[in-house]
Amino acid sequence: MQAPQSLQGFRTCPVTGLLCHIATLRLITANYAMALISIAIGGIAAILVGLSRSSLVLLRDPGSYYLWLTAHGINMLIFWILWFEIALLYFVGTVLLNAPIYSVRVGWAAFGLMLAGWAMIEYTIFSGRASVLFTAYPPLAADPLFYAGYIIYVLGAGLAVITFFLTLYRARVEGRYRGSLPLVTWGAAIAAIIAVTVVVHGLISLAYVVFWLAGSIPMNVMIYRWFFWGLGHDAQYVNVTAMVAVWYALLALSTGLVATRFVNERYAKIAFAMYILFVVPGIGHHILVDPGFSTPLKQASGSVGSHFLSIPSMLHALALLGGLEALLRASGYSKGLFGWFKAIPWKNPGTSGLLLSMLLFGIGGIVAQPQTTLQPNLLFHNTMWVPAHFHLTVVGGTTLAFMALSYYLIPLVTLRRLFSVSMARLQIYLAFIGILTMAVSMSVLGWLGAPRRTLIFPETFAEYPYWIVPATALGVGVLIFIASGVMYVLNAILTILAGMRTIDPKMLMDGLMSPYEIKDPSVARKIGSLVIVIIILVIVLLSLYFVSFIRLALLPPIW
Amino acid sequence: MVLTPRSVEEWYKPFSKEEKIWFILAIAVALTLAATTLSWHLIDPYHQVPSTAVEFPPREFSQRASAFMANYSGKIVPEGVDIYLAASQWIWRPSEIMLKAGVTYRIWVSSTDVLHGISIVSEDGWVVYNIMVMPGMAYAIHIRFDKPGTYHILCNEYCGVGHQDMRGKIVVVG
Repeated sequence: MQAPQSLQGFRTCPVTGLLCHIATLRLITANYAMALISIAIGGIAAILVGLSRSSLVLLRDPGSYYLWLTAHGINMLIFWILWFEIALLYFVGTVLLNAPIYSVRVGWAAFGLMLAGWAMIEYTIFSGRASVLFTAYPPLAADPLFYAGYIIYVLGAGLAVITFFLTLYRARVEGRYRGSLPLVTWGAAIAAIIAVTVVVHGLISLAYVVFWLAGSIPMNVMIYRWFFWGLGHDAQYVNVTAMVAVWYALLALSTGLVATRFVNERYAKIAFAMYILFVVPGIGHHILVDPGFSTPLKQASGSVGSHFLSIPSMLHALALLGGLEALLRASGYSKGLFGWFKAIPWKNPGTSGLLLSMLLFGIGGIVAQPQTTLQPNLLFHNTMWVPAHFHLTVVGGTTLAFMALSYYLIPLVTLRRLFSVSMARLQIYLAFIGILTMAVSMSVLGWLGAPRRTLIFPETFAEYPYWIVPATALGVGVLIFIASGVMYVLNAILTILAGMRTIDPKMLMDGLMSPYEIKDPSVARKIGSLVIVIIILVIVLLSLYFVSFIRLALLPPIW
Repeated sequence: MVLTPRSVEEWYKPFSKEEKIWFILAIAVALTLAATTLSWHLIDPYHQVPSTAVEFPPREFSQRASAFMANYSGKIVPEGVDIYLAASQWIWRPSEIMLKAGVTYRIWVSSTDVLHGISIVSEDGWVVYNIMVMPGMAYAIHIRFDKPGTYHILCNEYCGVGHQDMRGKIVVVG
């Protein structure tokens, strides 16, 4: 590659023309590599845990089941997500702004802290001294090394987030870019602000456990639960916000950058900002059935705060789908209400990845509404309904979106054609079917009272025969998703090792971009999308919500 | 553009008609959900999170559960008698409670060690009821079973390696 050296330490991307700071790229790669290692460990754990929860029962020893369940939760929800997001923050804060990172050294220091914390946690988990699951609720205690590692990891993540803010500041004062931040960077910055609340809550809850273990203060489980969920819940909203930013990037990339003309950026920015407003009040939906918190607090913080948190996601649904619809209408597919729908490039992994990720995330959000509400939470609390919800949002939404985006970023960064576009195409649909099968089975299990995070033996199934069918379907879903995961990893590795080298943008993005020619921008309406979001996010959502209230009302009186 | 910086004039656009409608509808949906949960006790006061939760030292609670078991194990609990159900790693004490159909009971539930959760599940999977069980705090659940039958008691909050073995029973007789 013959990149012209326009500035010391930078190279110019031959496809996009953006300036890439080489030292920052190395930092991005290191963070991304650790994200991949974590998702690999979490993925192996997923196979073991997922199949053990099906009627197949892989692990029969409770000790190993809970060990792998701890490894699955922490690797997926903390390591994979945070490392990927820090790589994303550095990327959108430097490459998209033609800027270098604020300090390469501090960036590496943050990475080093996270690596040290990660090693301590993995060591304690796999040596069997920290089988306390992702939530690590005291008074159940892990080895002190586990909490120390956790604190160091969170501190490292905090340092990385500060570096990102300073990077934005430096790019602004040095005049690296003009005008407003790109929408994707803006969304990622919102994610970073939420990440600050994650770091603060995480440090409080973990320091509390450390002081308690040292014997200096008594343990009040309720205080821990509140602050822990400030870490656990807000971290998922770092995800959500980053995922939505990735959705906008996918819409832009998969349509050859034309769709962005039809996205109302102001609408999107208002929606992003609303996440900050409601994320901290939403913590309380985790303590709805806890003793020791007052009902008004549970109502205000848990249910009401959490319901309002769904508004921004609903707004993004129309902003994105409407942007695509307006583009398709303007390029000639403007017949009727849904004439544009048939013209969606379903074979393009970027577009199908975007739409299927949005659909799964939407279903996940709908499933969440009854469980985040005080009364129906009595039906769903700590049942399999809960993992059904967050596998739809975190795996179906976030992971699928990140996978689809990497089909663009890997070719752009390595300047090699994707090894197989048709494998990528198939992978997206397989992942969709796998996650949907898993999630539907889990929700049925939850509806029938199966507890989450509990090893069920074949003997136990005999007492609950109605769990057998959904549990078997769960296993099938896990297997389908594993197949798609293997295809994803294979495609990524083969692209890096054996993809055809090219710097011709058309060759590089062949099959990944569906370009459109705008014929008549005046017919660019969003009415079909409005109808779709009303059907899914108003009618289906409210139906499930009221059905759960009615079911509760039909049970024997319990108050 | 989504991926590159641009000036305020370029991105600060008015909302389209669809966007305005959806903005209002999204807020209306959230308000409907919130209004429903806030007012539901007026419609159905008998399916609510227990409002009585008191501080209860674990040791004392354990003694109450033992006393209850000494008096009523293997017997139908008479009306008006409080039931004490203690969760410990990894048993329910008592592990079997016999109740009379149509009678309202008050069950105190608390933990003597770590965090637990109580899940009551009927034999057909239709009745499902879950709350948290904490050391130092006791919940008072008011409950009335109208139909005779057996109800499983499960622990639904991970409490250590024997968590899956924490199972009990409520037997309701006619």
